[in-house]
Amino acid sequence: MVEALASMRGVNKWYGGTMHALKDINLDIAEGEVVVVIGPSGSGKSTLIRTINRLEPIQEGEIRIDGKLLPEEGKELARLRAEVGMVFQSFNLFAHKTILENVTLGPMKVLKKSKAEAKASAEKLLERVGVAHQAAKYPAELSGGQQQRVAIARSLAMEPKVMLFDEPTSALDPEMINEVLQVMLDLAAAGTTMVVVTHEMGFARSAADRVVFMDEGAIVEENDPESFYKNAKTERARDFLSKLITH
Amino acid sequence: MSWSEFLDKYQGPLIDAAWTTLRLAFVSFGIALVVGIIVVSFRVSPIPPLVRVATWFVAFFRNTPLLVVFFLALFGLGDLGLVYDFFPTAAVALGLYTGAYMAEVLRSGINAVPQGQAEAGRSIGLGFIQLMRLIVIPQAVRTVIGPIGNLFVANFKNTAVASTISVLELTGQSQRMFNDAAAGVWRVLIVITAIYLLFLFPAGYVFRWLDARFSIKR
Amino acid sequence: MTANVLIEELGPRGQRRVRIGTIVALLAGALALIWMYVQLSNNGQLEGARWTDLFDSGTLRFLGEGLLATIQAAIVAGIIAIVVGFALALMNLSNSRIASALAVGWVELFRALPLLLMIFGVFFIDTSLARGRGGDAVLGVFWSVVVALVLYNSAVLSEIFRAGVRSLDRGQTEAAQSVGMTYWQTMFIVVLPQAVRRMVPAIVAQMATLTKDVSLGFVIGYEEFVRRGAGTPNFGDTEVTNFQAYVSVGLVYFILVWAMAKLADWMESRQRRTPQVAAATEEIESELALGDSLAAGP
Repeated sequence: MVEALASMRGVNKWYGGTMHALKDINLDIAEGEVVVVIGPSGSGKSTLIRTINRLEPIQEGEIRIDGKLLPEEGKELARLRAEVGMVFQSFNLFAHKTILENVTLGPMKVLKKSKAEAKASAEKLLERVGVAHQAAKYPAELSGGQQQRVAIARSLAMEPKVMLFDEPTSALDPEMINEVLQVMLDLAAAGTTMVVVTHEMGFARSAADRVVFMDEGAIVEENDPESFYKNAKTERARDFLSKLITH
Repeated sequence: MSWSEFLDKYQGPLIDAAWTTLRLAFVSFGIALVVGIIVVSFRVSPIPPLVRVATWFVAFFRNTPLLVVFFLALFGLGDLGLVYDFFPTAAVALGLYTGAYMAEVLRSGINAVPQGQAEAGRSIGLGFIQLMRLIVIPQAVRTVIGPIGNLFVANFKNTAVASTISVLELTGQSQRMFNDAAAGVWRVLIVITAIYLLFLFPAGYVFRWLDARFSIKR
Repeated sequence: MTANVLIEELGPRGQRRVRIGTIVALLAGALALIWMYVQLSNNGQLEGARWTDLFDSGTLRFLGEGLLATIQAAIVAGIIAIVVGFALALMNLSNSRIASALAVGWVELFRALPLLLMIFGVFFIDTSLARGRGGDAVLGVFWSVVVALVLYNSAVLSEIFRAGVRSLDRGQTEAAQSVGMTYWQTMFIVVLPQAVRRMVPAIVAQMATLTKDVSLGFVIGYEEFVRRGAGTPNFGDTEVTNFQAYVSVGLVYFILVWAMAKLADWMESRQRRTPQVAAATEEIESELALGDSLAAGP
């Protein structure tokens, strides 16, 4: 087996010493793999994805990216984060920067690319996610779906090894969900390594190599999407899926 | 006393006094900016004694009358072996006083930057300094332009209190003229009021314009 | 320690730096205190008698009267300023153009001038009128201070009231008018009682500021607390110098104003627990653009 691009070994996390948020997590993500994480709210799926670039520190276990142990702080951590793309539920575009500046900021300030170079590749990326004509606007002037696509472009501009998506469509109006999912499907098709927290079953079925089901901070079940959605092995997963479908 | 006699006698002193007010307003506000930045960086630092010092500093200056601050600066600093002229003493006292308010205004600006903005910055690999310089400070500053404008106006008005420690600025000059019965109380009041408004209305206008121009739409 | 937007949860190196920073800061603080101690004691400011003489019964009474005079002026000016500010807000919100123009003019003018100038202005107009008549001044120092405080604080308070009324849900007004209430009925029965409740913390905070500002009565000879402090070194047979006098006056004044500001903060945080009211409070704050807290404006 090829060595995993991202791997979590015996990861435990507590909030405030009492709330056990992640319980003994072991997870490997291979290069080019698309992993979808699902589970009820409060199951720890967002926490899990946020530990991978240490937006949430862990107390036990180890996380490796491309074989390297995740640094705890400082420049080393910043450098590693540059290799891990992150897309948030609430987009978090830099409110005081234009769309273009949002995408060029990282390449210029972190990767030390020239302005012309950063701009050229940013324009290409904005084209790819379909918001090229909005480049001069500010985030607040765009719809939620457009903002989220810009956020994806901003992450891609760093040429990350792995992309993390933390419920990227949960804050969107229904008519905008598809335009964001389409971009994500294209990325998956292009062989991007992705970890996606989402309830979008359609995305999981057509793009995911693996579905990871979490409950109460632990990974309860993993399987390929077809098997998982058709006949989940655990009672908890079946229970969760039945609620998801009836809604 | 006719208007021309009034002007003959008081034009010079009024211009000097207006210049003193202006200088004191800008010097003390500059000090307030520096003090505010230092105090707020103590206040948001992870080092407990610095946080405590900043909290005390702000509480002291916000809850003590400016007049007492001036007198303490005059006598207290003297007793500490730091003796300065009246003008620098006034500028420092006023700068510290406004600086405490400045620290609070800046803190509210920093607190207004959503956590998500910082997380987004970190996740594209910005280090602490870059995050501050490129994301947090520019956003914080834009949200506090209005309040800083209010502070500028308040600080400008508070220069009047410097007259109590012998700085001959506009209000001190007005007191001298009030005591000259021939000058006419109403005339003095109107002239001094007009000079203050001449400075303060444009200042208010400038800050409103800056606020409209630079504030962040969310 | 809860993280703010700036600081992530610290790693081991960060924690070590915080420990070192703490030690350095404590050392620097200790050095500063020692230096102050040495300087003050070299200047004789720490001699026992200079401090204990503050507690002579005569000195205490002298200072106490000043403190009472400060509180007295604050209460009288505060009450009148609230009434006048309220009237100004009603004028401002009324449909009469003349009334609202008058109110706006008052607010803009008196908010823009230094309070000290207004105290001089009121006092010297009073004395010059008296001189013209050849009689006694009508106002005298106490009322000169009070009138000037009322001019300024009524202007500030009227803005607070106006923001408070405007922060109320429009629906309230519409509901009241739809059941047939007139404008003034709506105002007095529905809008104002709710608005006033929300504005109480801001009013208390403004009273704290007003209390600080009574000290400016010093300049026209009103015998308030700071003036009595300034007079203490020359009062009777005492060792007290300016330093002890102002430190103790400052300390007592601080406690008084700080308590009022704390009361305002506490009231505000209690209100914040009701989401509707919290939203309104925020709106009042943003209208006034005072930033984080309503307490004690400059």
